[in-house]
Amino acid sequence: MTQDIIHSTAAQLAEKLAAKELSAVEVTQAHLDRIAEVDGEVNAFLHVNTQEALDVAAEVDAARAAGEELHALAGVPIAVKDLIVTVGQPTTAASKILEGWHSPYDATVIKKLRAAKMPILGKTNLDEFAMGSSTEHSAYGPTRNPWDLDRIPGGSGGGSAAAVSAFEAPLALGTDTGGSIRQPASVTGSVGVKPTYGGVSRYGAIAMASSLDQIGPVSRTVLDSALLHEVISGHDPYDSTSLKESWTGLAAAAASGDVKGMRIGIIKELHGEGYQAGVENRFNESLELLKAAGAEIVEVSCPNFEYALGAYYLIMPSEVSSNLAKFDGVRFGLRALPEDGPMTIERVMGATRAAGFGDEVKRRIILGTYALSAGYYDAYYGSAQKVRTLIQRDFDAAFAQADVLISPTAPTTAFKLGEKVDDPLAMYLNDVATIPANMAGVPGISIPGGLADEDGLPVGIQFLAPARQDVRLYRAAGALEKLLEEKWGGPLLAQAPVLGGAK
Amino acid sequence: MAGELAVIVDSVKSVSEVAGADVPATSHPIPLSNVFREDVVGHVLTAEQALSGAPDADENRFKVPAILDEE
Amino acid sequence: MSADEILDYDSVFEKYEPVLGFEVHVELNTKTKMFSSAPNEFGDEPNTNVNEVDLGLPGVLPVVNKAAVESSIKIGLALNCQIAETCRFARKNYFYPDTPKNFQTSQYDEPIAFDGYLDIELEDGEVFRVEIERAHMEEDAGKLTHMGGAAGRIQGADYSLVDYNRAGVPLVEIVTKPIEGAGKRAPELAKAYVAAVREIVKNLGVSDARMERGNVRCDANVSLKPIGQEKFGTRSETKNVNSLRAVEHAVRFEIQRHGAVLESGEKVVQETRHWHEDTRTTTSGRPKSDADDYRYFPEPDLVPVVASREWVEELRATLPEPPAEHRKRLKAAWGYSDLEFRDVVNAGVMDLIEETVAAGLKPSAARKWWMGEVVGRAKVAEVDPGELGITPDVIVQVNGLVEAGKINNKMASEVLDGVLAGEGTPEEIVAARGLAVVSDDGPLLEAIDAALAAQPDVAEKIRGGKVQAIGAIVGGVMKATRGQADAGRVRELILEKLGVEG
Repeated sequence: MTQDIIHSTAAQLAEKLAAKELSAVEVTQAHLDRIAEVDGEVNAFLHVNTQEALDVAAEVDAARAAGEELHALAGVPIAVKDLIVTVGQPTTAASKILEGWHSPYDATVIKKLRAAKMPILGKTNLDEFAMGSSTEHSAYGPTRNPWDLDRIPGGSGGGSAAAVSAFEAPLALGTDTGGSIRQPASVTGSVGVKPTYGGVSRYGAIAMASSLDQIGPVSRTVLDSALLHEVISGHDPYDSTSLKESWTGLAAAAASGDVKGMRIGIIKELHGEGYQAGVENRFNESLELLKAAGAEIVEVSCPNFEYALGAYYLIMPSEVSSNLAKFDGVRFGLRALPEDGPMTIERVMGATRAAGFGDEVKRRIILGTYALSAGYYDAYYGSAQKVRTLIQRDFDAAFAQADVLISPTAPTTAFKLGEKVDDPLAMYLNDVATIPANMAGVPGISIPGGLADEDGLPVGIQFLAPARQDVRLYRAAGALEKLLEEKWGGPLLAQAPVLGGAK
Repeated sequence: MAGELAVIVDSVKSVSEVAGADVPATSHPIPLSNVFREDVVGHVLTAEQALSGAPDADENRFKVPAILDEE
Repeated sequence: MSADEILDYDSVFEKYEPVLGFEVHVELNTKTKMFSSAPNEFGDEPNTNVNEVDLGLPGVLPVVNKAAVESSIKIGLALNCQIAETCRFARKNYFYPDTPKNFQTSQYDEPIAFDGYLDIELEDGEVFRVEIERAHMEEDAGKLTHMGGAAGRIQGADYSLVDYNRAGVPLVEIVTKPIEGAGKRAPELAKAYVAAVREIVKNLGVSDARMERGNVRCDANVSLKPIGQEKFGTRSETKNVNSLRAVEHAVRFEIQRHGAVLESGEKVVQETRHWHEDTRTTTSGRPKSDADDYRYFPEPDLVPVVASREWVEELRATLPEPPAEHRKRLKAAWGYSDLEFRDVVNAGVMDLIEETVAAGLKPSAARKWWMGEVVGRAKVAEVDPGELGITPDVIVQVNGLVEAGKINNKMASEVLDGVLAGEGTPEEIVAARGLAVVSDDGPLLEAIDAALAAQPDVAEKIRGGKVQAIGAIVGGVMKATRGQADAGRVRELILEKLGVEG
């Protein structure tokens, strides 16, 4: 029974719950059992929210029994990236500096989950403060890829992606600043979406790079992400950058499976050289399938994307250096004292940050401080913001020729733990295909595109749409997913190694 | 770390060369303006909640070591 | 720490000219804070007017208070500034425990108002134009209380306590262009300028403008340059100047201190100094460098403010009468002479008189009380008249008692002393101190008879038409009644008795 439950999609669970074929407590318990069974190996969760999750599930069952009207996803459990604040559970950002910290307020998206009565299974692992592409920079140990436990699950949101790929949760929330939802989806054979900037409230998401961050859905199917996207999105008066629009019709678009006449643009700069052969093969296959289904494949060029990585690694650390200044041992979190010398608050702040932040975080803070400093602003931060304009112009030109754009999500499949952790530049290159969307604020999705021939590991296919046109992502991705699953005879994750006791 | 940073800085330097003077900077990806809040009191935290994470506190205030070095 | 040398004030001007600059921070009186909906209230229990945004907790975001923007635009208009068509907020990054995010959300190269001026009228009527560089929006920091050092000073403190109630309160910072040409009148101009700004924001209704509560704070920049030189000298910035009196004294002190430094052949250190009201000196704070790198960048969590010309004109239409116009109108309404009115304004009691007149007193009476009784006492106590502790309401009560004939003017003065000593309301003090005018004519007539009998020659003079001589008789009666007679009534009775017209 547990196996049936945990292998169901969120949409299927919602249907069964509504039909009273399953109780919410059964569903939540099944997932808690699964977490207990496999998370020792996977390490997707930093905190499991057992009691509260079951309490919420019980409430759902009682409400349903009493004939009350419930949200479509009521009782469907979800995991939350530990960068999003939750009352009643710790929020650590996978950092020592927030070890054991309890937020006195809920993020807006969490309020929405609670209103929909979705039990929160727990907080998932990430690269510390969302800085990384492998989850190896977590202060609480790495998460492992369910496809191969010696490999990275991607980052920064490796925990959420691994949780859904290991069937520990049907849904999860992630955050995406340069690809932190999409790249993990790509290397774990799951689905991840970065909404249009401002489409989902950032209130309560610990800020990394304010002008790039978005919270988004993580799931195993396109439809599931669409359903979750509809729950979490919408205007928030607490977030000045949130858009006025509400987002509906996403699930319908995901289910439609229709790409006839859709113009799909291949971004010349985001495939080919520098991309693993197996990734390129699966990418080409998807193009063929889409063409055969009636889509018009065109090629577009975005020449300024070449500078996107550089500009990103100036804008992002700059905003990071300011956003992380608040972690100083005064109001919350770790306070570390200097070993010797005068005990002044300045030195305590210094000692706290030295002890509490990991190397990657320190690296980016220093880089960002430098990029903003007097005399360097124009050449670095200032120039990077101009490159941003050029990238937006490239997208505008591309979307004049195509309805959606397509690329592999990442240049490679999952690499081994430890392989790139000492080479920051090599690590940064993982995000080369995902970063442009964050720079421009446009939405993007990654769906499973198959397994690479050389290593049998998942490859991700990315779609990008114009700002506010998230619905196009779901239409294109839903269609491709259907075509691919027909080819595979089922979802890609059915081919994943079986984890846990019940083999 | 200094070596790593030098490599990173070098690799991002190219950015300063690509955009001409006529290209405006974009600080916000999606243009919005005049997002305001009415001047109406909303929620507050209790002092207990406010201080709940404080590493050190005294009389409902956050306590910090001396700001100046003893001379 | 040795005290700084100062040069004799007038001597400074034999060789040097002062250049001034002011940064005045005005706390707005909006109901909520600049970027959060927590209450903007003074004096409550620590950390009870905060929410997660004010504490800078992880994940929070700012949202701009519309009323604060409107107040800022009004201030800009009242300072004759241009209002920016579009402007943004910026982050000013620095670490300090009173700054919850370790950056302040402010405005950098895009202030909401810029290029204005204020015409300052000095006591003798000379008008001086102070040019305003900019006025911009920002948020206040929390309040630090230093413990363990002397008199709560930061030097020598063992630890500090932080209250974030004030963190996030809306501020408008008004920055002047360098002010040249004030010469010896620099301290006077400084005080008048800050008083004028205070008056304007109070008049606009955007701030409570109480300097003693920190609603209006002044940082004074002073430098000296050799007479005739173009290039400015090195400046010092003096903080903690929180009364008009202090502004004047601090500027004067700094001029004298800079003078001494330069005369001794030393260089003035560019630094931030603190004003100490108790010693009337400044002491060195931290070295201020223009190279204090705040790494300003546009605030990504906020979007631009677009002040359409329609919106600005709408706000302009709501502006109340500017203080200068207001003053002209009051002067005409009250019928004071030029000198009388100027004295009232210079003494800082114009608003108080206005309140008192609104409560029912005749302008002449109001002036008598405030100028005659309050201003002098305030000078002695070294506080501004409004801070002394006598309110318009007290004046109204005291005046009422006098007009009702219950007490005379001498007693009224005693009553005011009692109010200041905290003895209670005027009525209570009159009762407690047993102050009462003898209102029964009987005893007065007796006393008059006695006085006339004691001074028959004076009585003759009066009968003969020398009415001025009546003073001696009145005096005698007042003495006999231990000052408890109403002098006016006594005079009347004497004249009646003697059958003389007064």
